[in-house]
Amino acid sequence: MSGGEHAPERDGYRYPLYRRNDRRLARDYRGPLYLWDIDNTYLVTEYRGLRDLVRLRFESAQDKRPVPGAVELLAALRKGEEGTSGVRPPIYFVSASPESLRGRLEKRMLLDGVLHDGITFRDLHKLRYLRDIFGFKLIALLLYRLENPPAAREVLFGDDLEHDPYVYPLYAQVCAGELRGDELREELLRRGVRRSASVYAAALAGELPTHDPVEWMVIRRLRRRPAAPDEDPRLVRVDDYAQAAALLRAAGFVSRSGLRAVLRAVRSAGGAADVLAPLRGLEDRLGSLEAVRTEAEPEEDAE
Amino acid sequence: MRKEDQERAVQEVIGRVVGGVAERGSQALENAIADTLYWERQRIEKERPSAQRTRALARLDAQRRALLGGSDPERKRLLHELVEGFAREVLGYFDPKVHALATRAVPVGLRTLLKATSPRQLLRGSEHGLGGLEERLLVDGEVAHARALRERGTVVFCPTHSSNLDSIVLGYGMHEEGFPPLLYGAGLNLFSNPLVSFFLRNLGAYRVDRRKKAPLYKDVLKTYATVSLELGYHNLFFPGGTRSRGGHVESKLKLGLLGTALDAYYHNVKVRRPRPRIFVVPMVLSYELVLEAETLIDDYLREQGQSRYIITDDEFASPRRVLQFLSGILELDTRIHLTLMEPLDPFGNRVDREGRSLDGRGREIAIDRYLRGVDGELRRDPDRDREYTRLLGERVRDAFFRGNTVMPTHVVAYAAFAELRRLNPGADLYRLLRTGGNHESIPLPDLFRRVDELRGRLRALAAEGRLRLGERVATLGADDLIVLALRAFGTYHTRPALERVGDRIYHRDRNLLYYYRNRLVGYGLEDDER
Repeated sequence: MSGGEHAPERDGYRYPLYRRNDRRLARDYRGPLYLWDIDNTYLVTEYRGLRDLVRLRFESAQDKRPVPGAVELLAALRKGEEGTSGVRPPIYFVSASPESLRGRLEKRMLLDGVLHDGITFRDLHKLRYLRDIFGFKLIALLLYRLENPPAAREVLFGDDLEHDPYVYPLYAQVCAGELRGDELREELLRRGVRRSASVYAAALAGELPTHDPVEWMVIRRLRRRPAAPDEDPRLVRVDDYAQAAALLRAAGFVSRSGLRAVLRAVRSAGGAADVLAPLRGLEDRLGSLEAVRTEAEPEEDAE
Repeated sequence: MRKEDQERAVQEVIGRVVGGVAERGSQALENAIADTLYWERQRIEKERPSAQRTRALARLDAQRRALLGGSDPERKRLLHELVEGFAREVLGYFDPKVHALATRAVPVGLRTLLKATSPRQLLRGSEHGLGGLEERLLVDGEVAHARALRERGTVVFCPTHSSNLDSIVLGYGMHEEGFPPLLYGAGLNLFSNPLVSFFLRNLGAYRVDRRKKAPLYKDVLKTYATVSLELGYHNLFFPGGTRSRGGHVESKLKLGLLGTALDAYYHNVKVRRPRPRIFVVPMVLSYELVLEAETLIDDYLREQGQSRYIITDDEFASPRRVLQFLSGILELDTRIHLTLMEPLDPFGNRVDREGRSLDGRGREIAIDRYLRGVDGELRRDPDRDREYTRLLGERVRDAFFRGNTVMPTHVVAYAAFAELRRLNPGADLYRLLRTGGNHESIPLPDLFRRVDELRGRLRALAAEGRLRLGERVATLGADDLIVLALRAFGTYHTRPALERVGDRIYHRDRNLLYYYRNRLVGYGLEDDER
């Protein structure tokens, strides 16, 4: 698999990105749909400066390593509930990396057995967009939303090193119809998005039905920064993917065996200290956590 | 072969081959020499012009003149000269010190080379668990049984043959399991790579030049194998003769080489050797991916029935492809299975750990009686011996099928190909392989159902002992098997056999798909395709 399409034009302009959507779901599909960031969410990306940027550029697929538990969580999401063999929930990736890394990233996914349905990369031939990650992410999400069934239930995965905790709630607001038109344009300009890109995003948003599809936003915590008091309650920060899997198990997105596979992977990497920590306080949405607590107990013979 | 045994072996081979021809009379002598000179001329004339070629042709001319004008004793001397030339060329040389070095160097060398495919990992070491090939090779089955027998006689190991890497994998695997070096014939083409040649020679290989078509040369090879067995050298034969071109478990075996086990046993009994027994241990090598699959299947399909016997320009000849392959094997976390099956005697009977031959009810059989006439005298009978060897061949073939370890690539390729056939009813195989038929892809849920059904049937076959399931095929569900197969197909080959795009599976290289699918042919599963 290689190559990708440009974004569609609106008023003679299109945002510089390459994208693929290899799946056409039935319009009445009401199941889950997952959107993943790549760097620091699926793959470990140590980036501290220009030197690391060069290293990442030349890093082979074999050198890239997934975040502990990410591969198992992706597999569990794909499989969904136990014993189902019908439609597998779609998984899309949105990466701020340049499209030239597609081959290596897809090779890594192949090696990890990660099945995806499309990836969006940045087109960095236009260097003036180099810093516009916020605008890129929002536009990439909106383009998938336009194509995918309106009733699909979205779960977004990211990390708190860059813009994910801000882009994802904003995206939900846009879908819900709370932020559109000039208001959206101004908000994006305030966040440093280029003017042409903000106009483009607003045009795409205008084509969406008024429906908020986002059920959860799972953010991998890499910074010790407290959440804002008015943060979207659907945004859950996790220390590792054991916590993410517990949340998604409680919410009915992954099976028991899927949860246990993630737990094993995270535990073997030294994580999963307090699996239920981010779920506390969410009982009104998730119900009792007792079943998940039992399922998340360490396996007697495995560890 | 150790230096001290070499001259003895050469003289024994010359004596037997020349004696065998001479005892058939003057005409047989003349025919054998004329045949050999004819085939040798045919071979040499195909070589590129060189001083060496000119000298070889001149020598053949001189030998032809000697044949035409010579008396019987002179012809016998000429035959002696030809046989000696072949025997000395074939002779393997084994130095225990170099062997010890080579077996230590194989894993270290491979690990270094493999890490060198990613410079970062070379610097970092194996922190991510990228172990060496030794961790990827699983020697299983009747290992202890075979080990016990090497003290009670001489063992002939008979593996399936998929790849030129087999010799290296086998040599190394058997060494790791504590077996002494095995003597085996390796095609001359394998010696063209200096590094591989070094390992082959010192892991016990002797040269087999498949360009030499003269029956006399084949006699020398067989006699050399027989003599080495009699001298107590454990041997390794590939009874399939050459690599399986179509990816199938071999069902047509070359009985000539297998028959040397009986010859050696006969001679041992005749000269009353203290440990006359010869044991045959079938072995099955199962790979998730095969290094030369692309070339082999192309060859199989292009000239089915008349395959190129010697392929010199395949993936094995390219160090880059070999490294890619090995690196893929490590990254995939897959295992190469080397399965030793139940040992047999030269007549195809089962053998217990004490080396006793057993009948179908487990009762001991005195097999030396098989070689005696009604008067109790030891006697050669070519028709009878051919029948014994045919029985042995059947048992070895049966063991090959039972020892075949099924991998995810085999299951998914079989299921995908069956689905392809279902979608294109009545399509000719070659047309289907060339064009892919009317559907360029298969819906993933359909493949899932096929794999699930096939997995059920394979489990039933495994329960009956008719094949073996790799650990992942035995434990994982259809979803996971498909992911693993896609991963394997996408890792090494130029074009993947199958590729997933969204929720559809595209058959990108149908020849490869057919190759991997063929590993499950012969178990009666074919009915599923209809």
